[in-house]
Amino acid sequence: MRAKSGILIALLTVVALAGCSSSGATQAPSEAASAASSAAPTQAATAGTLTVWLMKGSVPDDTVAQLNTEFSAAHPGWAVNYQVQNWDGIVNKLTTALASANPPDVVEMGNTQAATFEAAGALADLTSQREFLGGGTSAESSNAQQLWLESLNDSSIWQGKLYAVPFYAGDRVLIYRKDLLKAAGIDPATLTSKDKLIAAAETLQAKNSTVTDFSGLYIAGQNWYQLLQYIWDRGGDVAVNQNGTWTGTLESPQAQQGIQDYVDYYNAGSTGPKDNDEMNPPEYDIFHQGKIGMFVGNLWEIGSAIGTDGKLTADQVGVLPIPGAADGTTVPVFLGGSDLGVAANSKNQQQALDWIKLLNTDKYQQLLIKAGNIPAQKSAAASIGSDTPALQVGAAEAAKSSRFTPNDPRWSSVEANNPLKSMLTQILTGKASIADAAKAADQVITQTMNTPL
Amino acid sequence: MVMRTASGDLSSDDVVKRRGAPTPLATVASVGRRVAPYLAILPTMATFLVLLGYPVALVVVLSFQKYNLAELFGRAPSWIGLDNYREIFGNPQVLTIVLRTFLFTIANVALTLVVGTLIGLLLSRLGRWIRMLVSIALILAWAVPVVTGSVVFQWLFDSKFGVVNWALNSIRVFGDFTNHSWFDTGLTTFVVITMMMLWQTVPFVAFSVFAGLGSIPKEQFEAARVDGADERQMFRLITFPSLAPILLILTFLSTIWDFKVFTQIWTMRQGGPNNETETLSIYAYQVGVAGNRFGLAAAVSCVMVALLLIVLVPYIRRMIRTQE
Amino acid sequence: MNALTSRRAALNGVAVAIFAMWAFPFYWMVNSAFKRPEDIQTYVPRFLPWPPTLDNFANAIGQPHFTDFLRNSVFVAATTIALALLIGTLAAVTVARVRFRGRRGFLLLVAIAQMAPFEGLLIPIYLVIRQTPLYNQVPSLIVVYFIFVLPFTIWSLRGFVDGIPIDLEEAAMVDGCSRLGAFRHVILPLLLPGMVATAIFGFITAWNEFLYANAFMTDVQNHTLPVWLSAFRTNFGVDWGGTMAAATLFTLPVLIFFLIVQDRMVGGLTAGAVKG
Repeated sequence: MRAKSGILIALLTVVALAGCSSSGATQAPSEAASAASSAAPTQAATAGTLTVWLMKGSVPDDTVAQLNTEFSAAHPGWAVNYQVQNWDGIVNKLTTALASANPPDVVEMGNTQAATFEAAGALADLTSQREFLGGGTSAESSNAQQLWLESLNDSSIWQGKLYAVPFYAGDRVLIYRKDLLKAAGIDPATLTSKDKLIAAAETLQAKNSTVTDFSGLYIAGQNWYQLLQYIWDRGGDVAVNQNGTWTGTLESPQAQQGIQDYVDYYNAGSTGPKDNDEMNPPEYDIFHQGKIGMFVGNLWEIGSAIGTDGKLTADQVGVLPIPGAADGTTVPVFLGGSDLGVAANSKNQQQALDWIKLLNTDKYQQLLIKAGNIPAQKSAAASIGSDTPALQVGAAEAAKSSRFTPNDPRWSSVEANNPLKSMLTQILTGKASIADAAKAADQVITQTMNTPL
Repeated sequence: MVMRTASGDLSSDDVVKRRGAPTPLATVASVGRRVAPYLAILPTMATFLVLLGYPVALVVVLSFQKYNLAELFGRAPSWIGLDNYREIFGNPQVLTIVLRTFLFTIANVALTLVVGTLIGLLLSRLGRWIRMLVSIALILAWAVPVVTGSVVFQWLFDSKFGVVNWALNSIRVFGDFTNHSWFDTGLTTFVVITMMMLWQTVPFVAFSVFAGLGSIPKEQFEAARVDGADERQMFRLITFPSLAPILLILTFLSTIWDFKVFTQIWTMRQGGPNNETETLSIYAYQVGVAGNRFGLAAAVSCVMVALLLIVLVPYIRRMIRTQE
Repeated sequence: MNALTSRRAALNGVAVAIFAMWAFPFYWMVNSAFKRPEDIQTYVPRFLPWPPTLDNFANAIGQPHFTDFLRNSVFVAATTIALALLIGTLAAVTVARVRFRGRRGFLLLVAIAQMAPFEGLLIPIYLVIRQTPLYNQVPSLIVVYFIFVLPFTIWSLRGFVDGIPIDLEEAAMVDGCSRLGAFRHVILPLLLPGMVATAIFGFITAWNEFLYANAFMTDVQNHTLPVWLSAFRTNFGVDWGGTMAAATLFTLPVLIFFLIVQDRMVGGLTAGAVKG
């Protein structure tokens, strides 16, 4: 017994000690950092190493190598420690790295994750550097003096201040089999509305009924990115922010209409799983196996859809903007992409800005295009030519009207247990009506989005 | 003949007495012997009280604070008393989640122990080469990274492309399994999760039992056979008592691990479908980690450990008491 | 066929069935590793990869810094189990054989330590470690894994020691062996199977750990293999072939380690012990 109480006393002592010293343990390592983050970066050291983290697959290695060489030439005595990070577990990794005493100076973040770091004070305030960095003189997204793609610009701003720099984007287009459409007598140019698209899907389905499990228009049951596009097309949204309070708006009539659009597309004959998303199984694999006439997919899926074994060739695959409900319109696209940030604790902020600025110059924007990305500069995006038709279509749509998820750190909590996915499965399996399922999802969203920051 | 397996104290004095009166050197030596056990456990104590103790204390402290991402970057954390705990227990789903976690744990522990022990016994009866074969299959299963194993099982049980549906269809005994979804309900999803976990946890139990059997001296069995004991009696009087401490510990450990398991359930369906496979650790991740709310996550951790403690107290007492 | 051979046949039959069940998912993983991406999920399952490709493996090994990852992982895993076995055996044998004051309290402490929430301790340990020069250093992982492997090591070894009859040591000491000698000649050989089983567990734990390795190692050269495994998920989807190839390679060192130590697990003893 004595030993047990001895242990108890020891444990309580440690807890008490921990409590008293918790302010020491839990404090951020650099006090000066918070002061430095809002001031303009000074003309700092004469030599050193700039640490840059980019994500795997973002920029080809030789492009970065070229940029690093140019940077070092312009900054004698400076080397670039360039690291490529994996997407798996990146939020954890960025969190611990940025909060440490020696964070990486430049980091890439997905545009839907940027808000998390911006709101936490992890990134340096770049508001005064907007023009220097290539963003123009206005912060207002739709203003002509705002030079970045609107969605990316929005994701870089938190509570009126600029904390990140747009990097590149990707979006979705309608990908179709030219030969199958031709054989079915469908002219791609006529696919300008939802009704026409569904009619084409059904025609394709009928014409290819001998192929097992063929989908005229393939859509996976839980592709919530696509769902958002249809909701936006109808004028709805997943959540709105009024004076700091978020409300889920999936039950609004407009949003419900968008959900109905999605269901209609699915019921036009898609063989996609009702309880899984577009990567399980990967939709481009199914396209490659010849089981799909049309599908809405990311730009980068095209390469995988064509594949390398010769089953399909590039001239069999065509690209179109995604038609909206009304004839002649296209849906607002969901813009995925990345932003670049400078760590608030970084000791090399001026150099970090110089490095990022270099990326936003036209030379490197063109190299980004060559790598298959939509660059962040509006002007560069508009310059994409018809030699890369898919990219051109994608960029045009991105410039026209792009949206993304609610710009708030709490959205990542919503995505971690995505109510949109279960909502879609409930509806498609007939277990709940659109109205009821939307209401249930809204409750989750409203509650999660209003947890204190 | 009954074997004593409880370890008693071989007092150093006994050995000394056999040699006559203690010499001064022997006194120093006997003091040394008395201190020796404490020296032996000193590194462990230091590890637990300092290296482990301080972070654990921090978890408790964090559970009473508002500690989100901003605090990690410098905002001073504020004390909010029991608010985190109130948020946990105020959630109407929490009771269901706790119950579900317990049921899941019990089922997994029971299956792991039973299957693992049977396979361990089997291993001890096999010839050398076939035992090697089975062992290799077991070790490979154990060594496969959890996430990869999860993916493979998802593929095997996929409604359209899965081998399982294809095989069941081919046999034609169980009816039509085309496009049968194994992830339709929480229960069937748990079945797949359990199968995957068994695949990876049974090897450890099997090897431990096999190793435990290996430390029973053959002489005991020979002597018992000479005395006329049969298979069943030998199992009851020799094998099982020798294995008992190991099985007890394995049960204890399996309970802790299965209670806290996260990755397998998360990668399968992220707690779905419809939160039907949401256990406490999934809940902790969703509210705490995904939302970067570390104070709340700490509170959930404390609740989980408290629950485990309550359940395992009888076990701990048993394990500690075995010594007398 | 008499009872003995039919019994043997039955056991072997069960063994083969168990082999098949346990090997199948692993075989499926390796199978997928040799397939082209579009062949991995097909309507009719392909039990043999045809046409086979080595691209996945080439891609896996060709990942930058692969040798760094391998080196780090081996170093961390090996050191962790060495430390744990050393300190753990010391504690386990002491607890199992010596009745000292506070023994029960010590066991209680070990039991409680076993229940420490591994994932839940990430942030607290991070808070402590980020202020030390140990952050972003590979040895910090050894410290963390050691802390988590130690309780189990002690429990497990203690269980094995408990299973060794005390009469053996007593007999050895009556024969003139010292305490330490009894340990070395009697307990240690019998404990070896248990130590091996425990070592395998510790090795796999350290080898597979991702959460802490990912969070505490910032420089790419300090990463371990589990981080390498996650490299096949890009913003272009997941390279499943690459993942399966990497996972296959990932399990090989464990298999090798096992094959080296496994004959130690075949117990039985003849060290001239109890007579009659």
